[in-house]
Amino acid sequence: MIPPGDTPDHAPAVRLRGVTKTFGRGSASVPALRGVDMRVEPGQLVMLVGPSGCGKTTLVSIISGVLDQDEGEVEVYGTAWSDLSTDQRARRRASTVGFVFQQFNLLPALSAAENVAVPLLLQGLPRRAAMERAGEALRAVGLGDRRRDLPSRLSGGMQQRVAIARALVGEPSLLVCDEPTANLDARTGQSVMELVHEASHSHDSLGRRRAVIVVTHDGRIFHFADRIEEMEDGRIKDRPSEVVMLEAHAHAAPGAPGAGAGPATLAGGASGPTPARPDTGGT
Amino acid sequence: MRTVALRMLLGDHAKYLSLVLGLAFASLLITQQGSIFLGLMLRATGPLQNISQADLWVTDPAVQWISETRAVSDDDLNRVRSVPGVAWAEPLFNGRAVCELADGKFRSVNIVGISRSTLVGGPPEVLEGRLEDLRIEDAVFVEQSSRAKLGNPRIGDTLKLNDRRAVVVGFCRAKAGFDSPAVMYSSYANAVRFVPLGRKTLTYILVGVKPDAGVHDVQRRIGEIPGLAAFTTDELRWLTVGFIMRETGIGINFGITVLLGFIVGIVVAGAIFYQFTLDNLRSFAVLKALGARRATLIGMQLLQAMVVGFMGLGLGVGLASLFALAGRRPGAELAVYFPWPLLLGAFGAMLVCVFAGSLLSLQRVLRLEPAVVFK
Repeated sequence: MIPPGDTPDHAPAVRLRGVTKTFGRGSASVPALRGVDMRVEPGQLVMLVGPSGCGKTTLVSIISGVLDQDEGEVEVYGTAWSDLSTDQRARRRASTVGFVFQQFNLLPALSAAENVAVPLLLQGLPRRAAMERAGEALRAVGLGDRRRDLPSRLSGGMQQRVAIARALVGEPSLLVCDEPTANLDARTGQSVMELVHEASHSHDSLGRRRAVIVVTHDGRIFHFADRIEEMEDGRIKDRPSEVVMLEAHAHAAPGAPGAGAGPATLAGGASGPTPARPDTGGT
Repeated sequence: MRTVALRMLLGDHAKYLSLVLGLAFASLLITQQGSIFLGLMLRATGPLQNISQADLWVTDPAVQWISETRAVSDDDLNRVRSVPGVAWAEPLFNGRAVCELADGKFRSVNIVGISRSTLVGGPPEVLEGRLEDLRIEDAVFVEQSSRAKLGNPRIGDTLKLNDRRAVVVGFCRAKAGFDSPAVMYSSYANAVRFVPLGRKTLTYILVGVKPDAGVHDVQRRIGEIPGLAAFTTDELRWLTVGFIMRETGIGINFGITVLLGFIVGIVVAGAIFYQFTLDNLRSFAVLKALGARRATLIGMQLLQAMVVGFMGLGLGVGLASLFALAGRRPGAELAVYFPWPLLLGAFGAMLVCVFAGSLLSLQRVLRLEPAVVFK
């Protein structure tokens, strides 16, 4: 359901209303999400933070259409996942969502370029064209000379760069990153986040501004966010805790990506990422 | 996505090799045992293949297979010749004699006696000598693969058949029977002398049907003569195959081995494919998350199954052929026969193996929650 004024062209990148999810049944059931409302605008980089088990990963799984919610509505650029069949959903994921995972999740038998080309092949692009674009995407993340290497021959940072190239090669509208820096050292993590941050300032294949959602525990990258949403016990808190805000400020070094462009421009005049509440469409 | 599927398959060398070797073994069992079975069937019906001129084979109605008959009389030959629609009818003798060898040993020999005047029923291929020389008293043609068994005689040599003198006048190529004894051709009159029987000496009456007469009509008419039945070559072939399958247990035994190969194929393909899928579950989940549709994933798995199936089949058939080649010895060749339907059947069996084997894995992949990529 698209509210008045939110035509597909002007719809929020992500809109969640009353989303719940429970795993298991009966006495063994574990509620992971207890009614989440959230809105992410095109061009925004939103970070989801919170303790382990608070529902961050479940939330981004539902946002990216790889998991069904029990209740509530989830729309990505004006389209509800629940309105789509399994195959339509797969096709839309291929064209709309880019993924960056904590474990990189590169296919071990494929070279870096072949890994990057997979989303294009899934969209039906001929192999030759897909490989050419994959090569360009790898050059864009600084790995143009490692296109033939298998993932096992790449460092963790390089693998994550390949994963970012794979996530962006199809020019998705939404980039979903799950702990993208968790397995990387501080410096590599920063460079990876610079690429992610840059992605939030670029456009998708339809010319729309791209939204980025990053799930993280890593306080060192909070300053890249336009907005931080803190989760606790399956809900999004009204405001991020002081600890989160302090961490965000502590790592927002002057001149660092995100330190100026992101936090300084946020609403409320705060000099750090702003806990902007989502417009839930009048609910 | 074909390349991705193949890379995933070939990327795990150990599993790929296990799959291919497992399927090759299954395919070897199926094709090797199948080819021996067909080879034996072919050998059993060898006498039928040697004679192409006859439209009908006339013998006792109780005949069960080509090599076991109750002789009919010379009078019956005349009766058959008088049946309307019969163009010609010639006697054929088939009997066993003992051939004394120079080293004091002996061999059982199948003596085929053919009409002295028309030479109908003669060997399909003459290698040395003239078939007409069979009209000479005591003359015999020796089948080429029997030569070694009989001490490598040459033209002009004398052999002792059931204590009677036989002179080698030529060599020919012909198919032996089920138990592959040495084979010799002689005139009907000579053959009856070599292998004395009772009052009735005719094994078969070979019949040619007039062009304007229907084979089945003539067959029916001959069947009306008491104590005679006429069979087409095909009928006698299937009678023989059916008898051997039924009475010797060959069909069941070979069938069991072929079935074992089939089961091994399914189990090996299923188990290794499933393990392969489990090992690649995350990769499949990633593909699903990235937007792979059901049809894409099914296509990938089927392609992987087809590739290992083809490789296994090729290797298995190759090995079966090597076995056949290794078993080639003059005079004692392994009965193997690789007709294209056998290869097609093995291919079909292999496809069933790999597809059935991959069903479980496919189900696992299709049911896989792509959300596991976040775990």
